[in-house]
Amino acid sequence: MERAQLLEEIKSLMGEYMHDEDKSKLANITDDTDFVNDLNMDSIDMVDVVIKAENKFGIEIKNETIAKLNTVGKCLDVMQERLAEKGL
Amino acid sequence: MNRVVITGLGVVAPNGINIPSFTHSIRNGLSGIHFIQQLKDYAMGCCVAGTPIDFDDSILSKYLSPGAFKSLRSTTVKYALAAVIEAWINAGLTISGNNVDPDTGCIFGNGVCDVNHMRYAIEKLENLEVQKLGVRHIEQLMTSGSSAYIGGLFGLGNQVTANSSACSTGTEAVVMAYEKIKSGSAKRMVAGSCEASSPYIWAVFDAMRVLNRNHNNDPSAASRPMSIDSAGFVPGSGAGALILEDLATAKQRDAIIYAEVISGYVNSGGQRNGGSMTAPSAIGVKTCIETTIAKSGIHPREIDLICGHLTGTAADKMEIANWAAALDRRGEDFPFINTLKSLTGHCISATGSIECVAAILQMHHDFIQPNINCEKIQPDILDIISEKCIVREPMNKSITTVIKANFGFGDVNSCIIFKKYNS
Repeated sequence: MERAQLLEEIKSLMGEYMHDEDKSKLANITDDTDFVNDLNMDSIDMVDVVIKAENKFGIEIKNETIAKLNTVGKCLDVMQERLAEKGL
Repeated sequence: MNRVVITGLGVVAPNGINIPSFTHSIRNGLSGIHFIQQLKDYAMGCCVAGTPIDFDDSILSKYLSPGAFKSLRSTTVKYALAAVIEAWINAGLTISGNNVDPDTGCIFGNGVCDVNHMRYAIEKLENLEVQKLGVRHIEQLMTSGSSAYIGGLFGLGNQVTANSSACSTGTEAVVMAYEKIKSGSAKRMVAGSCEASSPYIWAVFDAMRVLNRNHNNDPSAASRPMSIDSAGFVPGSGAGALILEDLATAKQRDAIIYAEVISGYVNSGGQRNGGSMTAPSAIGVKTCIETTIAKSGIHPREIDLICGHLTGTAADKMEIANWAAALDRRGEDFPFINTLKSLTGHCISATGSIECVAAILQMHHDFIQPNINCEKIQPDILDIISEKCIVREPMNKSITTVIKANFGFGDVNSCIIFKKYNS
């Protein structure tokens, strides 16, 4: 899956966990954007986002990896890797 | 030792989901007990309960992250947060961005988590759907769930914890918070307790045959403490919240002072001398009341009003006897006495904090809440105290000192004295 397309999918999942006043920040996120510090998200909610992505794409990300996914770039890297393993 | 005052009140009660509506209900003797179809569907004997049926959790979305609000299922946590937010705002306090306040803490108790929510989690597991459960459940199911949410909401940096002592929980939380400030370990404490609207808890009381089964067709008449035909208590739910501060801190910020806490004590009857898991020891109860009064420095004759535990069970008479013995006041010399439970039912672990809020409101607004449903009082009670002491109609009355106690399974007791603040 193209990185840009995956990013849009993740952004759509993140939206429901974000304060309304923070949602505009989604338009300008980069690989370095930190979910907690830059988007004001709760780290536990990002775990929920990852679980939803797992269910949506039929992939599985190891627990110890999930704990390290603090930026957009890291999240996309891992998901692309898992998707590639599935030939997606 | 610091003087401790009450500067904020909040409530989610069966007969009022905020302080103004609750004050109106208790002043006028309005019941919050309703028929609950679900209890009938479960074939319970008692099909009425005191629940805050008008409660709307949408206000919480203003204070929680979208993820936290979306995942919030526990009525224990919802009631606690709503009551505490009201108390915090009522106290004139603001929610402070990213700051942590090391001088403010929280003791907010409950008996058990919202079992409705626990059942939801269990069903997910049983249906092999644990991977779809989501991530925000343990924070609501843990005993300290409510206090954890409260601590995070306000950035509390002092002790943040939950106590659990059955029906004594709420008053115990206020006493513990009082002691914390009095000793100088904190300057401000959020105190209170909560109880979920859960048929799974009420059902186990129904199985013990301690709930009233005689008034399913007349819910507002079902809770009948001290009445000749009382036949068990009515279960309830909700939350009460109080902001306690040391006097100097309260005065420094010109806070409204609702009352001063002049004494509090917590003990156990040890499940000896007539006490058991479910019955209080008279010695334990009397010791708790006597010690609270002794620590306050007042004479028992100075007590204007007793806000009793008085649930509508066979224990009411023994409670009256214990009060009379502990205060050494009987007949017409006995203080006025009432129990909120005739209006709300017994809100179990929330009862003490909701009743502390009610006691303070009565003193602050100079009225005594009427006991309803006790047109005919138990003769055994009238052998001890005068009928005049049991207020049954709304009464405007200046109250200076009120004593409040609650007693819980495990033979545990808590007692507190509030006094009108006098600078």
